[in-house]
Amino acid sequence: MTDLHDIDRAEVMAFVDGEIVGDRAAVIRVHLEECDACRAYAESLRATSASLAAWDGGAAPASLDARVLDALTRSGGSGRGAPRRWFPAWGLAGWGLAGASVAAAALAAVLVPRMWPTAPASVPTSMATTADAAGRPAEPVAAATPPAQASIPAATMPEARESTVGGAARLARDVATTRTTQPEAAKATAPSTPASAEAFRNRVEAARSDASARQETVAQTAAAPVAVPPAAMAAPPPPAASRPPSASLPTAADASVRLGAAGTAGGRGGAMTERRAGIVAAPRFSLGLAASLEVADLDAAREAMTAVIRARKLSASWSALTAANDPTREAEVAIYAPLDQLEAILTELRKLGQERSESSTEIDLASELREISGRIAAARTADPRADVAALEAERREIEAGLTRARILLRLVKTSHR
Amino acid sequence: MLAFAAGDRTAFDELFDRYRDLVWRFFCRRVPDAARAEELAQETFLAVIQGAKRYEPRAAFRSYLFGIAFNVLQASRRKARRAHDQPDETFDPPGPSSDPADVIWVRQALAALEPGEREVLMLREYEALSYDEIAALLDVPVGTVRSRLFRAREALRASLAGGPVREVRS
Repeated sequence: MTDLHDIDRAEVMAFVDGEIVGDRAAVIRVHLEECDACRAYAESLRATSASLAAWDGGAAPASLDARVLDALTRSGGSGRGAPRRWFPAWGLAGWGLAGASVAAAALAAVLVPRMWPTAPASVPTSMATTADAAGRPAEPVAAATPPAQASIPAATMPEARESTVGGAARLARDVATTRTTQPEAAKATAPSTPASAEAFRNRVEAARSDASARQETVAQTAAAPVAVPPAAMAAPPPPAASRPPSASLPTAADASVRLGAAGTAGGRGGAMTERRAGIVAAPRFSLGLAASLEVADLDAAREAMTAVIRARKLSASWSALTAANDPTREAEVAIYAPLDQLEAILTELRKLGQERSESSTEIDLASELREISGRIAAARTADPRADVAALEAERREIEAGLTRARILLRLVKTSHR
Repeated sequence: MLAFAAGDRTAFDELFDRYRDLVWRFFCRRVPDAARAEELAQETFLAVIQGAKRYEPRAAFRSYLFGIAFNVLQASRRKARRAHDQPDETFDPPGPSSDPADVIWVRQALAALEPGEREVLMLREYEALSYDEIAALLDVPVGTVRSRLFRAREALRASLAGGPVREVRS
């Protein structure tokens, strides 16, 4: 039936869809008037479309309005940056890059709320992701660090804080699973993700499965001592081959070095293996977690968070407290953590206050880059004139993520000199 | 969109009012639960907000918007594949049991289609994108769009014969 005329059914379909114009459309129109079979076919197509239209999908829930409009408000009213829809769900690249971005923001005289300037044994100063009132990058949270609070004009803090977070988030490529909880008072306008808790757990389980496949490496990494002698901070990290198999837990700097060296964000266990083996394969997972809590006592929360980090011999990439006179009393922390400790750490953090949000991140820019490059190549093979602009744009975005990661690597190396 | 990119907040309100249901329906027809559909719809509008400064009116905004939505959907599917180590090509968006028979039939008929054909058909029928727009979005030649669409509709026409009982007016 398809080829009974010089007009086939596919062409009739295209005509019905309005895809044929000009003289050819006129020819088909006349043909449909004369040919009962083709006219019946055209009618059947319209009937099919009418049948499909029965599945309307309904109207969007009102909660979507609140979430999007809240995000818009946080973005500053137009496309001026990433809205802080959740606690910044940063990939490792984003977490590290937050240091560079916020340091730049600080140079522009942006102030932030009270910090925990610390001197972590395992995190180089270049990984700082916040800044003090003088615009100097502050160091990340770490174990065994006495609290010290910057003196910052309170009136400027909330705005500065938001722009700091936004600047970091803008640099981050968000590939996170996120769980968000909101205090009752904030629910009217704040985003909430009722189903993401389950998704989060699924992701953690999936990550654990992946981790168990590399059980030996992960266990070795998680059990390793954390302390890096302060003197080591002044020197670049040793070449991968020279590091002992029982190397310490990777610090934020380690992660960045791996990330830059491998051209991807690396999973903790897999990345360590990769370093020793001379980069044999792109790791699959990188995981970190971030939490934001509304607490009764900011100083107590800071100490408790530091204790959690210290007890587990981890390192934090970012932290902040709201100003002393800020009624929200929010404490935030971002921590690099082994997969097998993720849920336990979150459980501990949740005890410290009313949870506002938490997130875990995973990122694998290298495999994404390979995937998109493959799709572009396949499309061009199929049709040399194929329009691959959208894919190219996505590839550029991924490449930009890698570039940022490499810039971070240079910053880290510079800080070691 | 250009007005919004220039800082006109009310322009976004207008865009959102105009497209919120369309974006919502895009996802609720493609993902298995309403909460996830809402998350992805939110993500789409966030991407619009974030990308406003870079927006260039090279195509209809509708096409731009569904391009973003499709990318969000694909990213979500990739994550699901990685997380569960299995393909996420299933199409089983459950609806309330009170759905009319017509709607149930449509979902079943769409589920029976080959994924590539189903996506083309849905983009055409529900998002009303042109063949060129679909080709750009899926990164396939226009001829492929046309052939997939044709096969999908042929399959649907066959299903239609066994569809729900319809009222016949005499």
